[in-house]
Amino acid sequence: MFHKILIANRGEIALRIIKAAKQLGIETLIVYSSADKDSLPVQLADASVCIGPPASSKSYLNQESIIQTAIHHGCEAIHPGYGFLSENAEFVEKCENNGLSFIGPKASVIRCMGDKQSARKLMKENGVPIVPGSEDIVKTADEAKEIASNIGFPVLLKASAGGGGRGMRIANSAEEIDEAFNAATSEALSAFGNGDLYIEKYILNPRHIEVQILADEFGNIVHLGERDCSIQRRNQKMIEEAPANCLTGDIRSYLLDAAIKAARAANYTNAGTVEFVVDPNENHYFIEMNTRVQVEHPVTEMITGIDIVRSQILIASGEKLDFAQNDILVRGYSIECRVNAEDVDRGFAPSPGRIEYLRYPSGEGVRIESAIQAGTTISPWYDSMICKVIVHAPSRDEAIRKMIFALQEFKIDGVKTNIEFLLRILNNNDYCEGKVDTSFVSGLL
Amino acid sequence: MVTIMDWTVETIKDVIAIFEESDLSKIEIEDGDKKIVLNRESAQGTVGYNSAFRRNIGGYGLPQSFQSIAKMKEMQDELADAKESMTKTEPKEPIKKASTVIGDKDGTYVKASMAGILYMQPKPGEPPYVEVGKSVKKGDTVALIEAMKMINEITAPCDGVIKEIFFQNEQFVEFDSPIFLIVEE
Repeated sequence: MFHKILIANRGEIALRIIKAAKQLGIETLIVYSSADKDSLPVQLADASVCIGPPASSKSYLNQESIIQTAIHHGCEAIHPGYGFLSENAEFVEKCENNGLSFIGPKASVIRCMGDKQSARKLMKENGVPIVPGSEDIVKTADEAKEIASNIGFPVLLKASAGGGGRGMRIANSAEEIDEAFNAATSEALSAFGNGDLYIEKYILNPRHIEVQILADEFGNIVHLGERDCSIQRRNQKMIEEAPANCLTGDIRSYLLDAAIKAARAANYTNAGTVEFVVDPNENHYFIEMNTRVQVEHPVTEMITGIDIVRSQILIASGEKLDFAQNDILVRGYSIECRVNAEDVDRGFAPSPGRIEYLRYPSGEGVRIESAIQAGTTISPWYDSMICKVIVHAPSRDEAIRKMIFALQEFKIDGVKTNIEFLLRILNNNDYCEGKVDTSFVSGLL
Repeated sequence: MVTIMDWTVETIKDVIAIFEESDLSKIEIEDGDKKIVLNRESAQGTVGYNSAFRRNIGGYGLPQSFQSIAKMKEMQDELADAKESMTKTEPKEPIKKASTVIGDKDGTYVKASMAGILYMQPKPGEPPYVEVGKSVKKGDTVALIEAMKMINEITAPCDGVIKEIFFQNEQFVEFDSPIFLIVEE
């Protein structure tokens, strides 16, 4: 077991990792940018080191400073959280080369799954259904036109090195391909340094269903059930839930099995998520694998009783999973709402500021994951998510009611938040009846 | 006649333990006029609910009785005492926080432009860039900071004299740590 780990992240996930480590008796050291000097995770970690100015590139993405800090302060492992360096294969290699354990999958696995096109190929070879599309990188617009005419329009041109919804363009017909090809290539080049594109059939209005995987370093792989993350705005998730109530038993089994297959094909270790889209006709396809712990992991924890971050640390320290697939049972229903400091009326523009007053909801089956407190200044340097509210109840109906009450109980003065908008979604008839897909939020706006 | 088990309290306790750890819903052992029946009842179809507490999932062991909780506490206290006496790994040095260094001093602080190892001289064995009392011109190199072979030169932000030095060679410095205090000549 590790004695001391370094947390290379900030905000709510940094605090989450600190708590899991302390529960295991592990000392914690957090690295932070000068903008986070007074933050709660920095206050509560056993030790803290300022590694740079607010700009992420000079702080949370500063690989050399982070590794040097870990070595100098006797840390045996680094937990990267999500975002930042969590899926950076080069960083993982640096850890490996310097005798540091990276709490996540191996560099080679991250590299393989991070290349979207190679991940698709691997899945196809292993019998996991993928969205119909190109076999390989598409080199020219003409090649794109040919492939598109085979798989049928509309198509999506996607950056192979991409993610987060960038470097993607839709083409509804052959006439739109040239423009889409060029635009996607140049956006991919500037965002990821790699202009390679592949093509997928554009699935209209799908549901986003993902499966949580845990794998130890002894070949044991389990799934912890699925999540429905269809409530999104511009590819940013707002509300996530587990289990996915829209799935019939057959499709659920199929997706869960496919996720295990995918993880096995990738030689996966530690925590990960396999993402699928399910179209209105219940066709389901692998989209990508996220080789990190995700923002929405708490809903899975609530229904299974398994602490995913704790499991990550244990797996990385060489422990076997102490349960088999049959031991994992799902209880009840869980929903998470991401509370962001944003001004909904101004196009969800980030709304930084100082929190004057804060009252969290609480109670049975109400969980808060947050690093803010009264007096915290939300800085403009990082993303606008400030807090997660999670509920757990015996049924979806009760979970929705519980969340509505919790968000009404939640009081925050000083910054604008998306809470009213979240309540609009939760009170919406279609949402309550489970008749939603990824187009739902834009339909509301 | 085959004897399935001896009907002692110990053996019966073993049977109960085996049953609890198993997936079985019922065990029935009959031996002549002796019979033992163990039956698992599920409450209102929430079989999953009951079974969850019978497994060692995610670290959670079987439910404990209050007596065994007291025994566990005893064992934990003993273990804690034993650990105290073992040597712990100390960090190489406690982290020197910038806030403990800066006071109400007149002058200009030269701060670390990145976190890493501080070097006061260009190469090991060579004389240091500066010492207390040395005059510097704006732009003069006064120290180096290194992290994983990436080296940053720290330069004097203004003309002046080195009044104070807050760190030693090869100490770890955080970003923005004040390393030198420069005053007007």
